[in-house]
Amino acid sequence: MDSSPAKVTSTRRGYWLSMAALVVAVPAALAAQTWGSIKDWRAQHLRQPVAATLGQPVDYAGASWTVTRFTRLAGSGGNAVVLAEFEAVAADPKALGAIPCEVRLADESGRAWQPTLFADPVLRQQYPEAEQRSLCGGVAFAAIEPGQPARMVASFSIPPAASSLTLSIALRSALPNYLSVGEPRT
Amino acid sequence: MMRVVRSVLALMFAAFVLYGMQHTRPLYSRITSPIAYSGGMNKRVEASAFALSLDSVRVARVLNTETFGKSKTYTSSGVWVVVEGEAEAKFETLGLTSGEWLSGSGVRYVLTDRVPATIEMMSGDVYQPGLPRRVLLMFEMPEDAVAGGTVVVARTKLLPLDDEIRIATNVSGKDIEPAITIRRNDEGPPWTVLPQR
Repeated sequence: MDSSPAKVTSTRRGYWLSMAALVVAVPAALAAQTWGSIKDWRAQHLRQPVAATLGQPVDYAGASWTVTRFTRLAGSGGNAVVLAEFEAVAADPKALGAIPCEVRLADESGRAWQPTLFADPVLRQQYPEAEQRSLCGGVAFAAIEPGQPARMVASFSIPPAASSLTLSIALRSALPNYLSVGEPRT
Repeated sequence: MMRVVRSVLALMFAAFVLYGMQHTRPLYSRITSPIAYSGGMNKRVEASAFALSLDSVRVARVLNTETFGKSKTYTSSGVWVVVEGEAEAKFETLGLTSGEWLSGSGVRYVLTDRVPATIEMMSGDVYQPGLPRRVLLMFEMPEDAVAGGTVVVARTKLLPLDDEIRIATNVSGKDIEPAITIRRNDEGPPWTVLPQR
């Protein structure tokens, strides 16, 4: 076995170089392996609002979006009902319709409500035409020609005390950005 | 010689430690089991995502349903347990799709699927933050599984480390009614359990 000083030095150098390479390689492998999860987590939890106001068109996810109604009503069971109507004009409505869309309402304390499919009869009585609109997603864009507005609706059932409401519309392809519209002051 | 002995001892020690770790390792299902919040009847039990209180547990040999003018009778070789209460989401809209009756001997009974969907059971409803909603759970089980049972409710059975509320009922299993009827209401509370108590 060759145990000359030169050979020993070379072996030691190789050993420490390998150790140093591990320090770089292990975190790099971990980062590469989990990069997709980190991106998903960031898209879900670190969202960036694209602020808009009622009636003002805003470019988002490759379309021009306008929230046309954001109103609060007294519900039939002691709750409050929020009706939001909005439309999107896209150059390629079919492509936009293929992207999952999430609409929700949040208040200042961070509580979040999902749409309720016109569950409250008050909505059907006061806004019967709104019931004809589609929810955000593929159906709303199915029969729309490029440049035509796709009209959509969402209704929410919330406690009457909920305040400082914000409507958010998020398309999967545009995350972490989402469209954010505050409740108009009356 | 000492070096060889030391190496053998180190190997034996490592094997012993690995053997111990292998045999004391908790099951994956236990590591990822739900985080339980416990309470009793007529008390609001708060989990991190939702709250639940139960106020009535009734046991009957026959279950009748009345929906849209149609009546149906459900018999059983065991008994029917009908539980009522109130649930509320705390921060975001959610569903409570998992309801179980945990008997005193540890056997779990899931919600019955025999009753028509026109009777709104807990698992078919949506719960909104700040809007408490009445819940109805119905189970079918052997008579000896009733006494000392615990109702276990969760958003789903599939999410690891999610909330689970466990409410111990004070049912003795001796107070069994011949029959009870669940009537769907068109207005007001979504159902009524008859005869009323």
